[in-house]
Amino acid sequence: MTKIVSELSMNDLNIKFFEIMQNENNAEEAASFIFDSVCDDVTLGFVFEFHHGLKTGLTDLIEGEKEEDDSFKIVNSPECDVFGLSVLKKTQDTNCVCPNCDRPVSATRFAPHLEKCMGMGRNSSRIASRRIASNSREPTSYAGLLSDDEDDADWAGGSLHTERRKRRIKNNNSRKPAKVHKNNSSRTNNGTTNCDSNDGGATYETMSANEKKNLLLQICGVVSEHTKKLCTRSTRCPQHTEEQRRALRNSVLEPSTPESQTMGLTADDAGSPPDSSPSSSCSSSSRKRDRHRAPPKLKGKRERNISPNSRD
Amino acid sequence: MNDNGCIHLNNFKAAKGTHPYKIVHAFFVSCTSYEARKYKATSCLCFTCGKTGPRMHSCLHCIFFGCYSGHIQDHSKTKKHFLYVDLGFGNIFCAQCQDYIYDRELTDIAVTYKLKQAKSLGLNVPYTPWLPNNNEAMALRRLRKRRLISPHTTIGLRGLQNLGSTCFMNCIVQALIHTPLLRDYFLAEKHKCKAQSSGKCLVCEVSKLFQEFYSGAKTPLTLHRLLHLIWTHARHLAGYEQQDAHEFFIATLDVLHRHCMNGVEDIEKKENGRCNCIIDQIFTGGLQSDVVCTSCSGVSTTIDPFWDISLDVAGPGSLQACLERFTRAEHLGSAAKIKCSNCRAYRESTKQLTLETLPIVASFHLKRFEHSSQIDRKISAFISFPAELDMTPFMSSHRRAVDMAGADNNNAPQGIFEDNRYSLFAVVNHLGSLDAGHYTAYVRQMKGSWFKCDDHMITRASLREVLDSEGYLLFYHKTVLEYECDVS
Repeated sequence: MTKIVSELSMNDLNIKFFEIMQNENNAEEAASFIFDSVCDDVTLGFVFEFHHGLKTGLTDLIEGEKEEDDSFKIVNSPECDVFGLSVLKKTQDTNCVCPNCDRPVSATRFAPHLEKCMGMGRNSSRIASRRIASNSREPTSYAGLLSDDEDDADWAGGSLHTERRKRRIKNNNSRKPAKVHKNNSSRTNNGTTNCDSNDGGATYETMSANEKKNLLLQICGVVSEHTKKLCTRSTRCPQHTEEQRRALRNSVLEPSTPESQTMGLTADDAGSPPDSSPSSSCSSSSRKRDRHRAPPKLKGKRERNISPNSRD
Repeated sequence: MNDNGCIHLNNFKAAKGTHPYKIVHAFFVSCTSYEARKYKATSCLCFTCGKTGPRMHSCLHCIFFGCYSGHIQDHSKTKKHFLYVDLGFGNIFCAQCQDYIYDRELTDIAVTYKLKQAKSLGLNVPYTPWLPNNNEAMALRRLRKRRLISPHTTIGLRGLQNLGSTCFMNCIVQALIHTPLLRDYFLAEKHKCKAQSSGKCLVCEVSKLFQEFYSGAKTPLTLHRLLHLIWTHARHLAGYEQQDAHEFFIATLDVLHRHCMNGVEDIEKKENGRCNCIIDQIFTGGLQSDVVCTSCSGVSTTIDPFWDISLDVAGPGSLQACLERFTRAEHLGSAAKIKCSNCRAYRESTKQLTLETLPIVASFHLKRFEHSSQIDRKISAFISFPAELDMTPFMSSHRRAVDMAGADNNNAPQGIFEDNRYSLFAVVNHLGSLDAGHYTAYVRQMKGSWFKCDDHMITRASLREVLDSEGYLLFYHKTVLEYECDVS
């Protein structure tokens, strides 16, 4: 072991420091020495980082391979946005599932829907509390199953709907309680319809034949693949095709009875002028007419329309 | 990644462990104590030439210091000692491999000693480059493709579907997504959700949004879950009809802050009385209010946290002028006497607001909407705002220094080393009138690269266009970030 010749004491250091600093030239030299040392250190640090990256393969690992970004290139054109979509064209409406009620809602109408659904707007707290009340009071009723008229409006189907919606909103407050009430009375109490059921067919399976018929006169009824729930919109809802509705009616209703056929037809006929088919009470066009009637009359008419089927 | 040293180092470690390296590092590389610094100053001289370097190395086998240029080579020839520690950075030089070698175990030791050194000197945490752990290295090896963000691609841009008058939300989301530090936080997947129930945490939802923005998809996003979460947790927003972008911004920060705290232990929550969630780290500043009694000159000081600064726009024509007026001492007249704790009586006083601490993101709200009992109106007066803003004049420390300098001209303003420069990165504009309006946002994707976000429509914009816009909410990001001491 070599003798340590180069060790200094703190005292030595201090004395040396004062000695050196006595001379102004030394101070100048010391300053440039410190500057050079700092420069060298910084440079060395950078070189070490670079060497570390290369030697360990870290640089290669981090850099990887540059992704081909031709398909992400910004489109530079006054007629287009950065994605190359025309500035004049409106975006296509999409659907989203409302996190509050789990029903599909048109994206462009989502905020007004959610406001009502959560009971936040001016009228909506009343609507929401009524919905909650009717759900909890009658767990076996259609209340959670049947579409509220407000939600119908959230479905951006055709342009026709807009005008209808306005009128419907005007009238729904007087009309709705009658509907809910009627549903309760027309049903037998043994039906244990569970609107939250997750297994697709269960809702239909637990209904009696009459219940199924009554229900399918009023609603589209196609079972959603995602939510496993019945579609509660009108029998002419634009989300499902006539084929889907017919197939469902064929499978749900007894094949032996002729109703499955007739009911399919009723839905078809709904498109004809209102006066030519007075029996299609469940169709959207006849509902439109009903709107102008007083609630008791409406109730009577609905019952009349349903009764022929019930008697069968 | 290969950071397992070399065969020679591994043989040495097998025989003697890491202890020799620890000693050398703690005393002559990092100097984790005052004693160590003294040792380094007095004994780090070359055993061969007696000089302090350049590039001093220590032998790992015996007590020997030597310069890299020849003296350690001589030592390795005569003594057959082959491993040396570079005393500048703590790297190992292997004389048999004739190269510096890197060993993860020793690198980790070096990092902990560097932290100890900073602590012992009362310094901020030094910067250490990121090193992937085994899992991360494996993921990097498996997924070789790297997505680069450049000014020429749409990566990081995404249109947002209007859900029925929800432009107030879209513009705030665009501003948040383009907040540089928030982006780094979420893209680094720093949010580890401690909430028990999934789908109920807004922070997770924002995390998913960042993934969507950087996925390269081009179709507009639908923010229905986000809206539902915010409305669920901020019921006072009371429906979409009367939404104000500023109100929504504050409510969003509040919900995010609360959700960051979900499942976090009370002890972890507060550090020096300050919340350390990412929202508070980025957006919270401290507003100092000094009330000076005109009778006894006694000062009562309070400091309140703030997320944004609301500025009156009537009168001044620029953001700086608005801020100047905001931080000016204001005489509270005889109608607004305040109880002075010193005089024990109600006295006239002056009040001054200054910025005690600055947030990383400074958000300014120009009060363009005037609501009074007589009239609701929008003030469309032009307020110029700069792309680069120095906040120093509005700081409490600066104001104090200026006041002192008024009495004694020899005192230079304090805080010379503080860098309080800010850069504009997002502007939210309100177009139209009070009752029929629309919100759009300008966002900076990267320096010099601006885009206009009008719901689903994203178009290029120039800085000139941004600076000429009316401005309702202005977002500035700190230009230079300091490293903060992280205890964990």
